[in-house]
Amino acid sequence: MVFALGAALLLAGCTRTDTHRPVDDEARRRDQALVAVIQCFVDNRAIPEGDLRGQPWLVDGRVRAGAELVEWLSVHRDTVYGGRTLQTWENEATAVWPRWTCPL
Amino acid sequence: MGEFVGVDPANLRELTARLQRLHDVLARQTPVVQQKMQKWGSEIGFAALPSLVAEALDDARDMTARTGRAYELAREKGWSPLAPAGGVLAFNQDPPPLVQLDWTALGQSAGQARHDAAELARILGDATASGTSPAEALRSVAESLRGHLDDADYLAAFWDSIAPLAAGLARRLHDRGPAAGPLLDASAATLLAAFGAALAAASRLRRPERPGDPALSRAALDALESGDPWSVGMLLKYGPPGSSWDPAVLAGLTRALLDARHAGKISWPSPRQGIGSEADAARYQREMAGFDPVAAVLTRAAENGEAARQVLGDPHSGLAYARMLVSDSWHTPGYDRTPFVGDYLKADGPIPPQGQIFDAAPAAAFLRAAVSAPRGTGLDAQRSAWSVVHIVTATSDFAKANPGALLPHEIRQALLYTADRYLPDFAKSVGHDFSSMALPRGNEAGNPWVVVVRSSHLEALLDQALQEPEEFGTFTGMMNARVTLAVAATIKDPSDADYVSEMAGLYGLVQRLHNDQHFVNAQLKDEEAARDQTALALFTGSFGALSFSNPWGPGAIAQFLTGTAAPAVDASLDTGHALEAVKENADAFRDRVLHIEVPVVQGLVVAGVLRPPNDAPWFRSGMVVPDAHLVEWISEHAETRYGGKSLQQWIRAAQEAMRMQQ
Repeated sequence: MVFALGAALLLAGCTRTDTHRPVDDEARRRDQALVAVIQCFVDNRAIPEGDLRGQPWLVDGRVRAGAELVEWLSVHRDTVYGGRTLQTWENEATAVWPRWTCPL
Repeated sequence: MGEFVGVDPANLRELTARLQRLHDVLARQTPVVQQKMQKWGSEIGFAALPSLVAEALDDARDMTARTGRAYELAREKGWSPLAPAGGVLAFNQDPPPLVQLDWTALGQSAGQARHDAAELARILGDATASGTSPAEALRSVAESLRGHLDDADYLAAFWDSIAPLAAGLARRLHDRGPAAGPLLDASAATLLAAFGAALAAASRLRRPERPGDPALSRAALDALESGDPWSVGMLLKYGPPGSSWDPAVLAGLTRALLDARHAGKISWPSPRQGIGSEADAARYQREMAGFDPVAAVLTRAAENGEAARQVLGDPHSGLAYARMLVSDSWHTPGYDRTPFVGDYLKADGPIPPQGQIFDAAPAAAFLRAAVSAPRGTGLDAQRSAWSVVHIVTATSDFAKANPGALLPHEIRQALLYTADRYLPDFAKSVGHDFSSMALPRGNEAGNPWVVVVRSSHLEALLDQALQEPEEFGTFTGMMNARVTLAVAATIKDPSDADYVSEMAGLYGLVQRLHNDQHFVNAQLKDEEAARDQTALALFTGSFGALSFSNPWGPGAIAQFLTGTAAPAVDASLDTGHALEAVKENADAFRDRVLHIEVPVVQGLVVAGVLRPPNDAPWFRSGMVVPDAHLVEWISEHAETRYGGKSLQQWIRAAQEAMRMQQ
C-alpha cells in the first residue's frame, strides 16, 4: 500500500506540459532499485530456493530485468524477506536510489 | 475402360431434376418419418434411412455431372443452347442431339468440380471476348456449388482448379456489369455469395482420403492470398458469417489484405458512371466505404474471434498488424475538389481531400475480438494475451509518432474494452517499465496466461482511451466495482500477491491522466454519474460482485482476473441514461456502492474469512445490505482480524486505493 500511495502521489504531481516526464524517471528508478534488491537477496541466499525455482529471469545467478521479473514480483509483493515485505524493500530502495546499498 | 451409352441430353436433364427433387423430399421428410415411427413403436428398422438419403444425394450429383458432360458433348457436335431467332439470341428451341456418353468415367464429385471449374473459365473467357456480363451464364455454376457445400472432394477439386480465377472474379463481374448502378449489382452479389460459401466450406472440410488436409489446399489458398485483394475481399463480404470459416484460413486472408492495404496495393474498381460532378465523386467515396475489402475481412475475422487472435496474437508478426489496426487511417481517401471549383479558389493553394468517409468500426471490432478469449492455459488464451501486449505497444507507438493526435472513437472504445478485460494485469504493470510480454501467471508453466506491459506504454494507452469525463468515470467505476474481488483475491490467492495495492497503483495513474485534462465542474458531474452508474451496473449486474450465490465457487482470483462481461462497458457509456438513473435513487445508490465498507466486507465474506452471524440484519441472501446495523457491527469489529489484517486495516487499504478519485 505504501508503494501505491507513493507512486500515486508522484504520478498525481505531474502535468502534461512537462517535457521530461517525472513518471518515467520514477519507473526507471523503481526498475533499477528492484533489480538491485533482488540481486542482493539472490547473492546472499535470502530468498528460499523454492521461490526461485524455474524462474526465467534468473540466469546463472544474475537477475535479468524484464516483464518476467515484474510477474514474479506481483506474486511475492507481500512475501517477507529479511524482515520486510518485498514491496517495502523496493519502495525503500527506490526512495534513496541510486544511493541504496545491499544491507545483507 | 469406359462404358459408352447413347443418351439424349434433354431427357437426362429431366431425369436429373427428378432425382434431385426426390432427394430433397427424402432429406426433408426422413427425420420426421423416423421420429413418428419410433413414437408409434414401429418395428420396422429405419436406421438405414439417413445413409440412403446420402446415397440419393450422391446419385443426384452423379447424374448432374453426366448431364453437364452430355451438354458439353452436344456443344462439341455443333449444338448451341442459344440460337438466333428474329435477329436476337434466344434459347435454342431445337433439342440437343443424341450423344455417346462414358457412363462410368463421370459421376465422381471431383470430375463434376473440374467440369464446373472449366465451365466457369469458359464463361469468363467468352464474356471477356464478347464484352457481355457473365453473371447470368454463371448461375448454373453457382447452383452446382450450392449443391456441394458439404462435399470435400468436389470443393477440393474445384478450388484447386479455380482459385486463381476466383481471386479476380469480383473485378470481372464489375468490369462486365451494367453501365450504371453500384460497383456490384444484385446478380453479382448472388454469385459471390455462392463462391464465398463454397470457399468457407472448403476451408473447414477435411479431405476424406487425407483427413489431416483441408479441402482448400495450400496452393489454392496461396492463389487467393496473392490474388486481387479487392476481389478476394468481396468473396468475404458476400460470404457467410465468420463462424463458418476456418480460423487459420481467415487469419491468412486477413494478413494478406492488411499487407496489401499497408503496401498501397489495393486497386479499386472505377465508378460505373465515371466522375463528372462533385456529386459523383461523393457517391464514389460512399461506394468505396461500402465495398471495402479490408473492412469485409476484418468483420469476418472479428465474427470468428479465433482468427483475429491468430493474427494479433502471433508473438512474431502480431505487432506489425496491431500497428496497422491501431491507427487513424480508417477512412476513404477522399477526392480532389479542384476540378469542381472555380479558379478563384484554386489560387489559395491545394485543397485538402474532400468527402472522406470515416469508419473504424470493423478495425475496432477486430481489436475487441483479438482480446476476447476466455482466460485460461490454452493456445487461444495465450494468443489473446499476446494480442493485448501488441495492442498496448501499437497504441504507444501511435502516440509517439503522432503527438497530440487522437485515435478514432471506435478504436478508443476498443482500448477501453481491452483495459477492462485485462484490468488486473494492467494494475500489476504500473510502476515498472522493463518490457511487455504474455506469460503464464507467476512464470509457472500450466498457469493461466497473463500480461505484463511497460508502464509508459500502459499510460499511453489509457491516455488515448480516457479523454472524455464520462470515459474517466466509466473506467473508475470499473475499478471501484473490483474492490470486493481484489480484497477476496488478496486473501485467497496462495501466493503473496496484493491486488488491492496493485489496484491503487492503477488508480494513481488514471488520476494523473485526469489531472492533465483540466475538466471543468460541469464535466466532472457527468464523470461522477458515469462512474457511479458503471459501478452500480457492475456490482449488481453481470459482474455479480455483490451477488455470489456460491461465494467461493470458481475462485475469486479467477473472477478477479476474468473481470466483467463486456456489455456493461458499452451500456454504461450512455451517460444521459446514467444521470437519470443516479438522480432517481441517489441516496440508496451512495449507500450501496460508494461506501467502501460494503465491498470490503463483501470481499471478506466471499473469501470465506468473515462469517456473518446468523441473525445479522445486514446480511441477507448472501449479500451485504448497508444499514445502521452494519455500521454498528463494523465499529464493534474494527480490530478483529480477518485473512491476516484487521477489518479496519482492510477498509483503510481499500480507501487508500480509491482515495485518489474521491
